[in-house]
Amino acid sequence: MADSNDILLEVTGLRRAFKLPTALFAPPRRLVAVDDVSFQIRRGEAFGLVGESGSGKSTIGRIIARLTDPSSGSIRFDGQDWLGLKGRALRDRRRDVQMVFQSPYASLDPRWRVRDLLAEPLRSYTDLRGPALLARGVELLEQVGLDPAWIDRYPHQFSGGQRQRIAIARALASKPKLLIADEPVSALDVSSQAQVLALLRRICAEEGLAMLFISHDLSVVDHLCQTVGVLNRGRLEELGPTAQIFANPQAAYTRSLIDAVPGKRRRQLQAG
Amino acid sequence: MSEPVSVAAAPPERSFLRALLRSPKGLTGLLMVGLIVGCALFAHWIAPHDPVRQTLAGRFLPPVWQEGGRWTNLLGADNMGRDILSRTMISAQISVQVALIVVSVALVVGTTLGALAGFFGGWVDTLIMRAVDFQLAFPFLLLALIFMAVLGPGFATLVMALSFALWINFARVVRSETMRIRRLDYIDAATTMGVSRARIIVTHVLPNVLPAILVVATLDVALVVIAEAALSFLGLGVQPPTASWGMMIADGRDFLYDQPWIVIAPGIAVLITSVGINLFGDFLRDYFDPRLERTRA
Amino acid sequence: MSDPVLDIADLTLDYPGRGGMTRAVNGVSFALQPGQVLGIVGESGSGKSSIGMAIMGLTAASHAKIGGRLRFQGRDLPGLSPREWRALRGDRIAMVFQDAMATLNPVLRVGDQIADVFRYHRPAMSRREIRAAVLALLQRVGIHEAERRIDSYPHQLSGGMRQRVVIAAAIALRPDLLIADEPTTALDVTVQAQILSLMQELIREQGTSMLLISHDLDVVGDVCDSVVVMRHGVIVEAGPVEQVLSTPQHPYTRELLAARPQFGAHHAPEVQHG
Repeated sequence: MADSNDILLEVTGLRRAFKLPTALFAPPRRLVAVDDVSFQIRRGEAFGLVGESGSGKSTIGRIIARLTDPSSGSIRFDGQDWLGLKGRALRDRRRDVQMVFQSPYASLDPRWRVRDLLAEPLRSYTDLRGPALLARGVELLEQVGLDPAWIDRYPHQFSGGQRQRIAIARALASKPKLLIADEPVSALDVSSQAQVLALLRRICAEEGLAMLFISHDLSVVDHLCQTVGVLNRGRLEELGPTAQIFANPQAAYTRSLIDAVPGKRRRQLQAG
Repeated sequence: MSEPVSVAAAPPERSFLRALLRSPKGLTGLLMVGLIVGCALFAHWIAPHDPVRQTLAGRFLPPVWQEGGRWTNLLGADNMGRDILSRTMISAQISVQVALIVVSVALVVGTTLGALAGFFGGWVDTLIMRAVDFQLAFPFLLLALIFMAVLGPGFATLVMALSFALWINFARVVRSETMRIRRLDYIDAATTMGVSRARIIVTHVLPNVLPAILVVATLDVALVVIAEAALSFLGLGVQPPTASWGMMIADGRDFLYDQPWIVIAPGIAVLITSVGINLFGDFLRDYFDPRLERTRA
Repeated sequence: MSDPVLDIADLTLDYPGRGGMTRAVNGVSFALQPGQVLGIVGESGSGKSSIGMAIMGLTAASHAKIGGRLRFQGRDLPGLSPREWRALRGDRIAMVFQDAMATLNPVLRVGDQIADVFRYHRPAMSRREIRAAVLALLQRVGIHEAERRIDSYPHQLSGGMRQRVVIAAAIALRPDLLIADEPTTALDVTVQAQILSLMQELIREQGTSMLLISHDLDVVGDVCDSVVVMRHGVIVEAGPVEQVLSTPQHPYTRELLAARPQFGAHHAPEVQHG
């Protein structure tokens, strides 16, 4: 039904297995972190990948970000063989896929000022230098709702939520087509969570960005993503429009996940 | 935290002096090191006597505060009538030179190898770590002896033996720090932004390994000063007429009970050097950590 | 009328800091009745964890100053001697923290760690009796193959199982008060649900009162009878949980409620094309 021009990311049969250490003469053991996963993301679409720890969702994100290699499978990005890209070609196309990580503390180099953190991708992917570079950095800060005067500060001088905003600003610098967000709000306070989620929602709409949103939190995925894939120990149990899957789950695992979402009493009170 | 802590974001270059002036340990350390370095640089002009001049009449002259002491020789004279104060001051030259050269060489070699081993892992890591293991298997003194046998005793041998022994300190620390840092998300982030691995190591890994390197460097400078003294004490280091604290202690060894001042002066010199370096190194490490508040808003 | 389990009035907690004392808790008052489950909700910096620590007497190490009234079953807690504290902790008041891996000693077997509670507070029990009690506890908290797990080390267990071990140690002596500080925050959502329902069962079974400290209003709403909302060291709203959830009075409470996306309520925006 979707126009093939419409499809930005096409993942087919992705598989990632690890060899586990075994005793000397014992048969080999493998841990299959990702088991035959296939899905698509359209341009401008927010795709949620939900699962618990060990489900392989982070691994999938990292494979798509070309931070690690799969054991087998193929990925087409923007019409190109994504996994086949290497060296200079890969480095050039990386601009289209940027990532926001879970930990606001570990994703920004503590010894770099904000101006340098934002300059890094700009230097890689634009010709801007000097005052023009700085100006673009300031623009990015404003876009994520931070005071441009803070551009000379260090990460530790910001709160967790603000750091995630800096990370998002940095990810936007290369004007990517796909944003991979790996649990971007899990480490944040409730109010910070709300702000960062609102920011992501706004940015994706403004820039027409597609987003792969990896999370264990169904409520957040429900709020943000049009399509969802439910992962259980490396296998995709269910895949489809969020509203449909959450209202009418087919797989038992999906049902148990939904059942476990806290806040039942509150939902009852709001309904009744 | 809902608001950033208001800390003035002064660039490091400008606030170093202010930070130094505000730090008691930084100032004390700097003073002590300055004293030693001053002696090393200006001993020729400020030493009261010629350090190698031997006099029969001045033998075993006690320090000025003891009975029989004279103001001409503040710290007394040794068994050959040489003025101890002058000798101690000129020996600083050897210690400072050896310490600077050895630590610099060991730092560069050790950091490079350690960073490569930690970042790339695999066979690079194995190769470098086996080299470390191999070297650790040699007792330090044996190593020094081998160098001496091959190259003959003297300043060059001393420096080479010590550098050879010291690089592994840096390599191990830098490797483990690199391994820790490499796993952090900001390294992955740099990769996704198309930054080359070499650039990541230089701009992200090394600056974050810097505090660890500083700690090792300051501890090691003190170590080298003491090791040089030990080697010279054993006759494996500098040779007469070059003076070194270790040699002074060696020379004064036989007279320890009756004329202890021959040994005490160089001993205190070694102490001042080590403590001073450690204090200043401590201050430097605090200074380079952006997380510690340097100025209060 | 028996004493309330917890009687707290105008509680203040000051921590020494670089510029003098910082007030983490500024005049908090509430009471906890026997068998009741009270939730304290707040974000980081609200002072909620400090209250839990103060009740457990764990603030001495930070040299904190406690003011106001803090009574457990009629006894004044800050005035207790170290020996009286040691007798109380683990026996009458128990605490469960967020990170089980930090709570448990990595070099001791889990069975031994639970056994320590008995060894310290019930010296009369024999080793065989203690082992049997520990085994029973492990089974009660839902750890399968308890005979095997009792000799495991913490790192050999999953996060959920570790937290069950911690809970087992906490309820071993059937305490009167259980303080749980973000007990499920670090766990997967299905495990979280299991642990929460386990805790509810246990306290109902033993008649324990529970103080649940959390940043998650949804969790507190599911588990607690009444709730107290904290912000910057003060209580902004308190009351029965149904009331606070359905008709929040204070704007901060409303903000907290609005911040959490409701499952099944909001739907994602339409796909935008760049």
